[in-house]
Amino acid sequence: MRYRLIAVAASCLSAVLTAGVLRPRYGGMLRVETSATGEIGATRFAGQIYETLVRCDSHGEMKPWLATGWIHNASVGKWIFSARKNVVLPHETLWNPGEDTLTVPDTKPLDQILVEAGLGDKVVVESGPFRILNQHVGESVQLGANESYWGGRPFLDFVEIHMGRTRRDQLLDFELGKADVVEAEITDIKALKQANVVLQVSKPLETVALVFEKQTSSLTRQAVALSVDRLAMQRVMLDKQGEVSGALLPQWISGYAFLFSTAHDVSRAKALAPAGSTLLLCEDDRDKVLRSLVDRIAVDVSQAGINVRLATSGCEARLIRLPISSVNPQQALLALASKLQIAAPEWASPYAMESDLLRDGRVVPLFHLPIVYALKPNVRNWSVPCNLADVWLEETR
Amino acid sequence: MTFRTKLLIVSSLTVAGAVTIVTGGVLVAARQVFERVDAERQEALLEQFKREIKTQGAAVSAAVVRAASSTLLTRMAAEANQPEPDFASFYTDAQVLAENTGLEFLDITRKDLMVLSSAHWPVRFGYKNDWRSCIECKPNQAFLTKIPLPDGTTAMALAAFQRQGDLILLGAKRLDAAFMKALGEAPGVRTLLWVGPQECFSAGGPVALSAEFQNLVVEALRKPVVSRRIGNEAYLAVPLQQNGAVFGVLLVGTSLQQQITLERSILKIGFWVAAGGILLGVLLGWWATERVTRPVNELARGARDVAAGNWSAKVNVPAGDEMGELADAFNRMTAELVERQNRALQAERVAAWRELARRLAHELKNPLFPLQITIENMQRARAAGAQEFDETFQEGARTLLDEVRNFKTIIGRFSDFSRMPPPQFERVNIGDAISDAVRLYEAQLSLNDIRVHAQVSCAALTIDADPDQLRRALGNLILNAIDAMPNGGSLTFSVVGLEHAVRIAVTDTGQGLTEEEGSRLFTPYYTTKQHGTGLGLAIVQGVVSDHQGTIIVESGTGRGATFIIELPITQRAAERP
Repeated sequence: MRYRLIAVAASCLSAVLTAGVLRPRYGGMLRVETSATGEIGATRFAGQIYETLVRCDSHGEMKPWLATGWIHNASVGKWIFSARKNVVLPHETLWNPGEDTLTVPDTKPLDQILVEAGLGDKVVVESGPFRILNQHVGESVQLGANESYWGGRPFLDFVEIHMGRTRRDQLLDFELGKADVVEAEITDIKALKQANVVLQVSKPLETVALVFEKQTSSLTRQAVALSVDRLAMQRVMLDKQGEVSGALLPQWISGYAFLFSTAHDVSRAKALAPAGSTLLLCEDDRDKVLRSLVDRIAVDVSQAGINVRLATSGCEARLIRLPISSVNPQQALLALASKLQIAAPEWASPYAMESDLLRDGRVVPLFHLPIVYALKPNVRNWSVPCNLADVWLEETR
Repeated sequence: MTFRTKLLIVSSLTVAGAVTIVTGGVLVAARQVFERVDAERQEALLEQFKREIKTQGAAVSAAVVRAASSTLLTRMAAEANQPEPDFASFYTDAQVLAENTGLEFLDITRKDLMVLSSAHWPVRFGYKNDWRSCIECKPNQAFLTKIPLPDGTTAMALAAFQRQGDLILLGAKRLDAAFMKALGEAPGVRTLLWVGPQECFSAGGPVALSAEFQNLVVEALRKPVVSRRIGNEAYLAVPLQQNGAVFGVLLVGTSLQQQITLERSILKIGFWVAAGGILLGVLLGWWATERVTRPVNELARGARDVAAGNWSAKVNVPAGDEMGELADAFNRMTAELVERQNRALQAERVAAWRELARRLAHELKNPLFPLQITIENMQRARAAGAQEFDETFQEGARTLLDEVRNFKTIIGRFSDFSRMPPPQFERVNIGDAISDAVRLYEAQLSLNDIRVHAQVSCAALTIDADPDQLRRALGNLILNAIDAMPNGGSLTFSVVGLEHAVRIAVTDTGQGLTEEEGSRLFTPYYTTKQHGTGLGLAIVQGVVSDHQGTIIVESGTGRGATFIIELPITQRAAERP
């Protein structure tokens, strides 16, 4: 009987403690490492600092954000956005945009207007849940919680983001306890899981594509696209992670990715390849996965009779990762066009826009890969796409 | 070329030739020895290479066996037995296996050689293993092969394979600098392994081959063994073959530095020996020629003296050898010559006196006969009466005076010949001298119906001569021609300028001379004429001789006669006034 009482008391105590642990906690500093380089505003963390009138939700719908709504004034031929009232700027002043800022001519479809507004074409305001405290461009950024954030103060006090770190270095820092959240290679998933590391694997949110320089011949591009054995690479080299694709956007976002060919036809590639053609392919020493993929592509392409040479600069083609910044297909495509520095397609259906982007064969999508984050056990509520405002750190005991 | 020079050249050449032959022989012998040693060293290294191949091959084979018996390969083999095997997870396992077994190259393939996992080229999964000749080999038997590398080059390797269920495991170790180092090159020996146009290495690491090496390799790829000298090394190129396929070329080079040093030493010694020999030969030759040529020179000098008329010349050569005997013989010869000359001179003098007496007797006898007749007539006329005597006396006295004058003339000629004075040289124009002489005898020539022709090639030709004696000599030749042409004819003077002399030819169209007459023509007191003294041509010869010239006669019976005189253009300074 006495033992039974002790067991009940222990169970109650455990329940009380557990409830306390799972409750979000304010405070703490989150250390994040990323391979992204450049301005923080061009990374996945941009939304934590900068805000736009509208923002894409998890279903790809454009939803009000800094704008609380929009109405159409047919008499003046404009769409008028209503500004949110309690948006505080870095110097603790209220955001008070002028009428012109919130007025858009109705010469374009509303969808396009909203997508462009979501991209920040019209309004970008530094009013996010975090503010930049200190920044070394391309190296590190220290963010502090925006106490006056209109959506409520974030749980974390500080976020330290180290940029331009290779995945290998990130993993090393993670193991040494220097980082709480790091990006992990999909090829490391198995090993990390075996090591009981907490992993956050997203849906495919990154496109791996072969991008040709303008001067390469169209036939060579076609031959290369046909000679690459995507499936073998995905199954063996990518540990069956991600998806094989011939489209820029993954199937789960666009719904039509399967319409773009992923055919592997060496004999046709041989027929297409100009005699004696060569290809100088760029190899990124910093990215282990891309480097091994490039090596395999070189082997595949050489089967088509194209003499492939690997280099680190002055290349005719390179394999790159293209982050999908939005789950709205059209917004994602416009962002990709901007990232690839190619002309934005005419506004149309997502399929038409994507077909337009891929028409000249300069971009050959190969895979869609998930983003993998390795998290320290005390990091809670981490999500991809990331929303640092919801993340909190469990108190370590 | 003097005997001494010849002797020196011959002795030098003999010494140099002998040294050259000996040096060449030593060089050839040394080279043969070195070549034999080099060949042995190369052969030994080749044998070492083969042994090392065997040893390394056994090690590779053992490593492959270890890899084939590993748990990893067992798991793969088990997966291969599944209805739908999935080898994706084994993608990098070959690398682990290679590291564990120390193999540089490792491919795990299916039965059809499709690569499932590759250690050295992981991304090549799904493609066929194309290591050459492995199919023809047996498990546990190492073989040479060429392995394609990701950078487009190939590596030569020692490979072996093992089967494990439905899988084949191929492992290999590269033949690289470490392997070459293991051969343990002897000093002076270098080994290169040519694998491809861009890959060649020695024990020290990669080597860039020069064009000469490339050519040697190209030749070696066609022939079993090729040897060639490149720089200071002798190379043996041996193609490495396996089942008829050539995988590379082993180049074994031995340094020729020692050989070259020895050859240079031999050549240097040979040179100095030859130089010393030649010098010694020269000295000995000089000494020998001094001993030989000095008596010879003495003899030559004596002979020249004799030729110059000094018949009493003697040579002073120490007796005791052949040259001494020769010198004695020479001296005896000159003594005998002098004696004979004296005897000949004496005989000639006697003969000359006899000839003079005969001539004098002949010359004097002719006028004596008229004198005797005249005197006898005068005696008869005295006996006959005064009137007849007076008549006879006048005529007889005239005859006596004529004959006395004749005596005087004869005596004058002899006197002139004996009193021939030395020439007084001055520049004389030959043409003028001939003209003057012809002018003196113009009347007699005309009287005898003789036409005179003159062919003077150079009218301004002048020589050093005594004009009086020259005119006298030419006059005697004209008189001689007049006597030779009693029935008329033509007399031709031709003058030709030579390099240092003039040639004067006096040609008549007379009855000519017999050979005997020609040979005695210039002998004093010799004449073919009834009233001649035999002194005219002797005087001509005397004048020509005093002018350092020569005179010859060309004639034949019925062909006339040509007297050819050659006189020097200039006389020696000492002889000129």
